[in-house]
Amino acid sequence: MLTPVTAIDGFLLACLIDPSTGLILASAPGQGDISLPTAAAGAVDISYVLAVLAAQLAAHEELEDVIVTFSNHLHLIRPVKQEAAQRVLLLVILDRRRANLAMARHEIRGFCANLA
Amino acid sequence: MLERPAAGRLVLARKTVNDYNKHIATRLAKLAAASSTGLLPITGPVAGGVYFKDGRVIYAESSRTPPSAQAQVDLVLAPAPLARAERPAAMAHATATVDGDGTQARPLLAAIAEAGEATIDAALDLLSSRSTCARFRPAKAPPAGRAVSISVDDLLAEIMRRRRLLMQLESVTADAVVARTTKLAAQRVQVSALDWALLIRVRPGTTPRDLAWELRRSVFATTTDVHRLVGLGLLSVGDPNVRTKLVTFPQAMRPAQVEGQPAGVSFIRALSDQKGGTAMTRASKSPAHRQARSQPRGHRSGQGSDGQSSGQPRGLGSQA
Repeated sequence: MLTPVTAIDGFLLACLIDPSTGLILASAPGQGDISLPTAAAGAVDISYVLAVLAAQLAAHEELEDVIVTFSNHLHLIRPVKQEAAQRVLLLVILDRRRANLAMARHEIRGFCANLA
Repeated sequence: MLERPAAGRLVLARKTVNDYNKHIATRLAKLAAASSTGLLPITGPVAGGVYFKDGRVIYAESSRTPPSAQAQVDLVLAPAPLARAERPAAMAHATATVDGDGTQARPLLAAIAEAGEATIDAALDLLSSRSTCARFRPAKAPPAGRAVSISVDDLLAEIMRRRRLLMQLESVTADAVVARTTKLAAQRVQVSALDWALLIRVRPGTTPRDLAWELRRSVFATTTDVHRLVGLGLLSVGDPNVRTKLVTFPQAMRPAQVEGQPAGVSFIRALSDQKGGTAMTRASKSPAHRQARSQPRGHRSGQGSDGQSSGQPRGLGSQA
């Protein structure tokens, strides 16, 4: 299911998460020693905070994606469009030295559109 | 502890993360060890059952949680043939069949999420009750099209994670009465479609469990969503028109009082208990778990190549 995402340059890890429960629905671990449960839980925490922010801003906008920049890694979090009763988050972790952020976002956007 | 308040509403009081039904957990572990196939009926205040196939949980139902609405997709899976390190999570078979252009991915993903969530939600409810196990019925199959495949270890680890998360929600429980706030603090608030669906269904005396049944969603997921709406000031806990005694944590058990930890909901914090490990019954641990426990920290064989420790929740994930 996550095969297209694993082809992104610098790919390290990807997973689909239910943001209401924190449950990992599917994952594609690559190289590296990143803890999948911790990264997924962190992504849910971030989306939780941003949902509150979006609600309070009330700017008639939807969260498109989140980019977290560490010195060696990039964490890209993107809500996958779903029906009202089922929401899913995509988390992709990339090696910052090998990744092209613009290309990665483009590919992730396409993947999410396909999935939705 | 179950209390029946004046309004007649049943309120399940939570005590601690480890205060779950060890009798059921032990029985589940024994059935898994014996590679059993059939139904373990649960009777008592919360009735239901856990279906096994070759020692893996394929479905669970509880009288207090909505069943999976996804009855058309057959997700009956064979036991994962690969080792845990290669295939650590349940349902690898289901997602492995949709590799390719992804055109089939979403319906199957939705089906996995729904069927798996219903099972975990029911199991959480059963293990949080004071119910008891009845006689195991071999060869009893679950309702058609409602099966997943989860190891008992993974299921118990996920239940413990959820119980730790529920501890953080303070007064927002599945059976706490919620009400729409009549006056908003902000001039305007933006909510998602799901939040809106929840908000418009809140009536006098509504609980997150009622909303979950109405929307055919997981009770646990609905409770966490309601907690967020309470945090936003759109809902409040307790309804002045309904006399319901709400049970909250004693002061010492509130998340804000936990040493060195901030208040609020954190899924990262729910990954491990306060001592940094996971809490499971000794009986529920497999020989592999016990072996891993006996090894010194940092050298445990349960830590797979993907960085998951043996005690960490694996959810329903699959390797693509």
